[in-house]
Amino acid sequence: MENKKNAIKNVAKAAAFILILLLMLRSISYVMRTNGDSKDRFAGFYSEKRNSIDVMYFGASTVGSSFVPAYIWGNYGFTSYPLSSNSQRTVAYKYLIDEARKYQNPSLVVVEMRTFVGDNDEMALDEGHVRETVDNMKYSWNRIKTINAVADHFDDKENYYFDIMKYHSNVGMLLQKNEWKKFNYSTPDPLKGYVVRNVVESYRHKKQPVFDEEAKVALDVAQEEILKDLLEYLKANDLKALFVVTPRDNENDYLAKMNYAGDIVRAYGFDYLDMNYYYHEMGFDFSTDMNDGAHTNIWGAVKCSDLLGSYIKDNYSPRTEYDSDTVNKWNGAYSYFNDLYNSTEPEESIYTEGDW
Amino acid sequence: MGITSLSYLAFILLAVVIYYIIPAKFRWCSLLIFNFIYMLISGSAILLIYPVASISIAWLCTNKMETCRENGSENADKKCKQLLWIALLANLGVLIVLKYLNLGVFTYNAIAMRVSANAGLLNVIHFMVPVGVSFYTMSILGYIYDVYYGISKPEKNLIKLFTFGTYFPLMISGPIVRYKDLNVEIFGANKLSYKNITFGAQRILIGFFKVLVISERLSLVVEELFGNFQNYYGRYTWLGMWIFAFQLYANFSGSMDIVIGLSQMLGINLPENFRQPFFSETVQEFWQRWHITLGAWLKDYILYPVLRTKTFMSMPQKWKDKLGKKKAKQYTTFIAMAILWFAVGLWHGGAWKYIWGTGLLQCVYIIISELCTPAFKSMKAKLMINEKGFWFVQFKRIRTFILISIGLMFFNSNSLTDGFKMLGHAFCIGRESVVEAGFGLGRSDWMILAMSFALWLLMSIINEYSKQKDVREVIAARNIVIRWAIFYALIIFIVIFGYYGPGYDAAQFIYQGF
Repeated sequence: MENKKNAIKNVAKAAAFILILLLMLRSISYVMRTNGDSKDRFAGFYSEKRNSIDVMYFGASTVGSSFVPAYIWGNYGFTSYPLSSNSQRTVAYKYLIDEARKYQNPSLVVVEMRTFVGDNDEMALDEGHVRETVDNMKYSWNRIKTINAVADHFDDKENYYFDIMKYHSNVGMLLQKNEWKKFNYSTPDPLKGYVVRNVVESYRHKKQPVFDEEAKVALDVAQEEILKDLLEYLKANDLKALFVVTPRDNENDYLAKMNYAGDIVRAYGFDYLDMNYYYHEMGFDFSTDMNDGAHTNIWGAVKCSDLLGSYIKDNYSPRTEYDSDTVNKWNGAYSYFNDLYNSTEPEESIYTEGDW
Repeated sequence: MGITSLSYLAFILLAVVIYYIIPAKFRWCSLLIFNFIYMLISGSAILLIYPVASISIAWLCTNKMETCRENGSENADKKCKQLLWIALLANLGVLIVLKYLNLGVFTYNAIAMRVSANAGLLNVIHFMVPVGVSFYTMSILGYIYDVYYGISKPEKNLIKLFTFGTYFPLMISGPIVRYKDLNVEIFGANKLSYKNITFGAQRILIGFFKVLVISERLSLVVEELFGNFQNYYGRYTWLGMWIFAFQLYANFSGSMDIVIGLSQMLGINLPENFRQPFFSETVQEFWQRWHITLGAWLKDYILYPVLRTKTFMSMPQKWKDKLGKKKAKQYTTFIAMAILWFAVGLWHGGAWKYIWGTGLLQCVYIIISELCTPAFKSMKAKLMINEKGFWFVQFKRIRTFILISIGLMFFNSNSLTDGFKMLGHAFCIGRESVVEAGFGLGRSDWMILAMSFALWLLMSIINEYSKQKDVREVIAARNIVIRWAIFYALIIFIVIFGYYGPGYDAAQFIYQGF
């Protein structure tokens, strides 16, 4: 190097160049991630004011379709937000809870149990859903830890660490104004992570399903270990948690597995709320409130939200005081949801085998 | 570990950082370690035995030559010659066995099958080949020659010779370097220089642009037009040849940019291997601009030694009476050139398609050109063609490109027979072609290619005609905002439009394994 002054100048220049480059690549990477509900939901989460969310939901697609945060706010007075994605890997939950805690200070963590009934090894190979779990997180050390946990079956992990390697062919995203707004992965989601489904699946549920509380079928061994690990994590971090099962068809021993999981959760001292046993109290009608065999529609979602909202309010005393900015924004979201609810028309669907 | 892979990028970044952490005097030691790590990652530990054996023999023989000369014994020359042959045979022997044995097998089988349907055929032998065997063998052969002819002093330190022989950036695609040039660069206690780091990184960036955006994208078209050549005729076959020529050039010169850029970051200046070859006006000129280090090596170590042999020295004398002095000399040179071009073709691969396409066919072009020069001269004079005129220069460039692309077509065809069949298809003008829409690429890909070609052409014109002869120097003369904007734009262009990552089955480096 010519002299010390020049050397310092050159190092500073190089550092500035690299820093600007990394920021540009980060933003382009965020913009080019495939659009969809999960991207909107995660970007929405990152845009929420710090420490303004009191309850966080984790789980699969059913979380986004069954719980309406804006409705719960309007009727039960606490803020909540789902950090969920389709077939979200159970092994990712504790990292996602960590992610939520980096930005928020939730008094309660709600975990939906749906994906615990799946075969972990099978799900681990499902690249699409693995990616949906991790590719919507902001770049961070925690994201790397999540990738190490969920993408352990894939050799090309560098494509997960730097997801631009996967999504750089999504040139179409660059032409969408809405995606450019996500350059910092922080864009408000007007429905606070909820996704409206308006189909009424009519054939399958002419009769209400029958559930047997005594039936028990063991979970997949790996899933049971993951569940226990999650419970240990929650205990170790002194977190309040509620485990929830949303309504769905009782197929392939689904409820029996949920009963089995419930025993494990309760043994660790956490609450377990299987909504399938409350459908009378909820006024839930499987012939009109299901979008398909696995997800509730908007009318079923309101019923689930009522049960969950009241259960949390009665058992966990969630926070009721929020600053005016938060209150205004959430009131706006509630009003937006109400308008949507009142204007949504049901769409009939005739179930045929293999539809879902 | 592909040259454009993320793992290679991480590897070279680590190599550069560690290189400069170590005190300048010992920096070359880190290179040795990285050379071995690279060879281990690229192959297996057992394959290290080849370079270790080749280099050890070269080291022993060259140092023994020196000792013989120093002792001044009576038969020192004879002993040195014996040592030269031992070293050459050991190194060439390994190369021939690993790379060319199957050429003999294929040739024997092909002849045997024509002679008799019941002929017993030889089995193909599969060897595990160490990475860069051709490149390190040629570098070491050059070193042995140079020591023998007294051009270089023998390297006393075996470890240093290993470091030179296995210098990892050269292992994928060369260039072929000479010990006397590189030892100063490698062992010269290189100091950290801002210009070397930035210019090196910029060169790597240009390499990534050529390989990932252009070559990888064109590879789909080439795959379609060569893989299904039976379905294409006339202009489509020509298109395939021309596109492959561009693909190979983008791939090879891009890889060279990465290698030269990486070396520049380490303070090691490597010789250039390409100088805008498609601007060449003749086939000879093309080969002076394409794979320059190979051409130079073969001239220095094959052509000139062959011409210096007694047989060749006596040829013009023998033929003088029959052919005349000028022709006798010219024909002698033609024979030596045929040997040279055979070697060029053979270097490209152990198959007749290489020997013909990138070897003997080129020799045929040059000989025809030499023989027809007087006729062409008088024709140009009669037609009053200005040799330096813009349009005539462009005509010559296009003609040269077409001739070269025919040779490269053989290089990429499945076999020599398929190459001739494809050439036949090229001349079936007017025959209907079965066209795969876009030849495997979408409209957006063609638009990206058009933009990339325009950028590549601009860079080539700057490199060829600007005062600085280097696009990086031209950019460096601009202010910081323009400079940074150019590099940010190029990086983002590569990141977005590069053909890499899952979903893209990036082709291997075309020259890998040579």
